Amino acid sequence: MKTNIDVIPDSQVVSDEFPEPKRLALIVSKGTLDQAYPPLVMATTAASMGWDVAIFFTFYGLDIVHKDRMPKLSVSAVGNPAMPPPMRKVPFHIPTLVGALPGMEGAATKMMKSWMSKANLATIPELLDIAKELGIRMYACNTTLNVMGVSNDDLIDGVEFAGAPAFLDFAGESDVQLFI
Amino acid sequence: MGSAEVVSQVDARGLVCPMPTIRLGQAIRKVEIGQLVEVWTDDPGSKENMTAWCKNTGHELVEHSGDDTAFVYVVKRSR
Repeated sequence: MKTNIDVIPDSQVVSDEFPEPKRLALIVSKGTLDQAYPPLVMATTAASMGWDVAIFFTFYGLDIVHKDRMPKLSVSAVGNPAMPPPMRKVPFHIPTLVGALPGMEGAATKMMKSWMSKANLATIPELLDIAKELGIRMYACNTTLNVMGVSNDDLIDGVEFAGAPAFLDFAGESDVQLFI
Repeated sequence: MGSAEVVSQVDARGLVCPMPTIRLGQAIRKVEIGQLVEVWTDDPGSKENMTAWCKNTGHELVEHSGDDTAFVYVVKRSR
């Protein structure tokens, strides 16, 4: 069925025979601010390269496409041995026990957001807008919606519903599959 | 390059991955096939990123220049 697409054409010689777009399938199961970035960066980049992309949000990952929870995504200070000190010159990480103190999660999140802003990183809402603009398909796992107490109306526009068979169908035809 | 000329400039300086290539993608869709888009960036990983982006999209990286801190890429819309 496939003809003349065994070899990726040199970018110097592009014709109508350019191969089928590659496909990226992502499962996103984490709902912290730092874990929201890798899938959205990969997905938007792939889509900008012409790839066909689908993201399946499940469990805590649903928070990334939750209208109310998405703006409140946080960095976990508890059980995070990589938690850096507020001032980068301090040469040690924050002891994990300290991360359990009240207010630490808010402080850690504020700190991370300030670093992201200084580094000029796109925000999560910006990346979600780009994802929609580039036609990335976003699916909420309808099985875990109920588990996580999320109703259909809680989700941002453009998110559809699908389950494991739909993911596997897409992933089976994909070039790259990542579980994040 | 003959008659091809830069018709669109993307100033991605200060932006980090993935934004330079996202902005390039947005710009290239607005120009005609054969026309050139110029991207300015200070992303140190941009050479690898731009090369990979062009390889995947089928557009042609016709020129790149820069020192260690600032880079200019010229990409021709090829399809």
